[in-house]
Amino acid sequence: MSTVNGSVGDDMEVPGPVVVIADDDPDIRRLVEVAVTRAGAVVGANVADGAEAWKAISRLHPAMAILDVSMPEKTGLEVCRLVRADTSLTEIKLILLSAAVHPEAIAAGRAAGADLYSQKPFRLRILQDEIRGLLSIGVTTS
Amino acid sequence: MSGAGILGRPAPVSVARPRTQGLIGHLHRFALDPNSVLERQLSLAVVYALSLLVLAVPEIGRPRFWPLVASIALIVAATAAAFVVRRPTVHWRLALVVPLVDILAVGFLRAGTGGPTSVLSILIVLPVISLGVEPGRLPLLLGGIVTIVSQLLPLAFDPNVYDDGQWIRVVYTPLVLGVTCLFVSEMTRRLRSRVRAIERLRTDQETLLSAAQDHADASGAASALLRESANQLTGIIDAVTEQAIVATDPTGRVDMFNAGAQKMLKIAAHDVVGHPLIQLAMFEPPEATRAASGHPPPEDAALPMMSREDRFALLVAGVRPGHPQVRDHTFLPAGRPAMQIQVAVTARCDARGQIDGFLFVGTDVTVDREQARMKDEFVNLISHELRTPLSSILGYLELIADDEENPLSEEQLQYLATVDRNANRLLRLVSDLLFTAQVESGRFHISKEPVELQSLLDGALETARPGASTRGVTLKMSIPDQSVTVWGDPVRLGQAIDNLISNAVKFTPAGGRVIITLGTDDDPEPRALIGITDTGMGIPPDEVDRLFSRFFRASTATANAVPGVGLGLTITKAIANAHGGQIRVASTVGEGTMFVLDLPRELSPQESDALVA
Repeated sequence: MSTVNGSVGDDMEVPGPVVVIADDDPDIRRLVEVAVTRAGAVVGANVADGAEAWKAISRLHPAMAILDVSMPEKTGLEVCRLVRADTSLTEIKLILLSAAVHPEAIAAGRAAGADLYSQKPFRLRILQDEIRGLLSIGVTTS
Repeated sequence: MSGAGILGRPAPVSVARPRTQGLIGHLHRFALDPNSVLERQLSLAVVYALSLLVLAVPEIGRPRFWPLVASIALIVAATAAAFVVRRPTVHWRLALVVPLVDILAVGFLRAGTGGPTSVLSILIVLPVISLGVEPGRLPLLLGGIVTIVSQLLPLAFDPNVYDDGQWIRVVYTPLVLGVTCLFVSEMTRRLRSRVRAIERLRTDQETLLSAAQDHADASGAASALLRESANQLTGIIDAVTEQAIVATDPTGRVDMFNAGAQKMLKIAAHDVVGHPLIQLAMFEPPEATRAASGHPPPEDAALPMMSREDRFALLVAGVRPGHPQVRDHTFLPAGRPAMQIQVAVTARCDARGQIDGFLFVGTDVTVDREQARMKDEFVNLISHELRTPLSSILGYLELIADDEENPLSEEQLQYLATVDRNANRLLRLVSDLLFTAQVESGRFHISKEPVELQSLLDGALETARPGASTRGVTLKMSIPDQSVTVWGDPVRLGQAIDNLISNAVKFTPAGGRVIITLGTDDDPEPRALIGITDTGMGIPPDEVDRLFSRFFRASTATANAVPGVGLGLTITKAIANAHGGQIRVASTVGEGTMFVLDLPRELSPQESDALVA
């Protein structure tokens, strides 16, 4: 099990698609990190608030961002909108993770431009498959 | 009038009539009143008595004694008779006896005072006229006979009285008197008929007047009643100060704007009454209606393009007698915070049942909606806060169980499975609480798509099978080959069926059975019936009504320590209701329970065709 904390150095050979993770709950953050790693991707940044997430995304131009909805500074929805408004970030896949399950919250997530709205609690294996699916990573790479 | 006949009695003058004064009145009475015979007779008696003074003139000569006495006696008798015949009990016709006796009396007087040459002969004119007043031709006939007799009377006292050609008087005088009598009779008859006509007109006029008076009274009373009822209604409507009541005509022009509306919207009635309701921003048709009615897309720019009539028609679209519409409108008063107003729109009908206008009753629900929103927010927050730690628990459990590098022992895996099961139970409880809160706040919405019930039941059966086999309960399913489809939310319907099956399994002791059936019923409308029957412990009859209340647990559940918090059936019922369906239950304690989920069914194309055919 290999996990990467913080950002990946620019000079390093990146072994898979880079993913940015943002969640104010460190336990969840770590779980998501496991899912990303098991899916065969590389954690580019793992941050605790929306502003940090937006900074990391702007800097790293990752293949994917997995964002909690309810975060300090900027909500996941706001980060989603910023990403979708930025023409240099058109390729990025966005997953929103939230414990809010009412239909309005899901609709708001979709409207903000998320590719996927996943509910907490999530099954690790399922999140793993979803990440793979969105990043088109073959099963053999895991 | 029947009384106007030749021999008919003149109609008596009505007693209720006010007494007519003066000469006309006298004539009137004279002509019409059969009792006037006394007046006539008294006048005649007075003239007679005065005429007797003539006898005092010495040149006239002495009258014969016995004829004079007979004459006076007859006058007295006639006058007495006049008193008698005026009584109502005496036949009116007998009145003519009085002038006839008078004629005879004058005959005797004449015979006693010189026969044909008597100066008092002229007195005969009076009873003849009196006779002429009597109605009909009979008085004329009898009068003629009696006059001739009266003329012949002098012969009884002096056989030579009619010598020298005086006999001509016997023929001539009755003839002239007869003509006079006829003339008087005719005049009287005409007068009588005119008076009667006037009387008739007057009666008609009185009837009309009284009818008009009655009518005026009735209409006065009716309008007073109307006024009072209108006042009462206005009073009641204006006493409603917490609800806005606005009435419009069918085109949307405001007819009435009550005190509550003025208070709530801070608009004076005189600024609104007579104007189109739609100019009040609050009564703009909401977006949903516009979209549903197929009108231009709900772009803000499109709205002002629509005519007021069209916008009003949108506002009341779907409102029919007996089908009101209740909807929240947002009102933005100048300088005040936005208000949420719940408006119920009802159709007003005229006597023929046609829509005569609309009634808008608005209630300020700003505080209610705010409270509901806060409650929603609270429930969402709690749900969020409970779900986040559960996410960690479940996630890390999965991580431990799934760690290929450090595999767990069988026993450890069992312990982990127990933790996982309980964490999931907690998660379900949180979901159920959130769900019931949504149902309560009216924010529970279902998606609508065709749902094939066979596959849904197959899935539910597979889900329930492990639990049932653990408890030693047999699961059986009987479903038709033909596809049964309803229109609804597959996830929620699956949840409802799962709830019913897991309940049935939970409440059935080992060795029992749970049977799942699917059927259809087309009367009165196409429905799908999902039955879940168990051979479990049953529900006491007095608890059946409370079965669907939140947190209710049947006594059999607590007594048998069946786990649960009492939300499953509340949720199942809410799901059934949201699909336009219902849940029915039949149970016998100790024998088992049957739940039927009754849902409106979507007809397959073949079935629709069959119905049309």
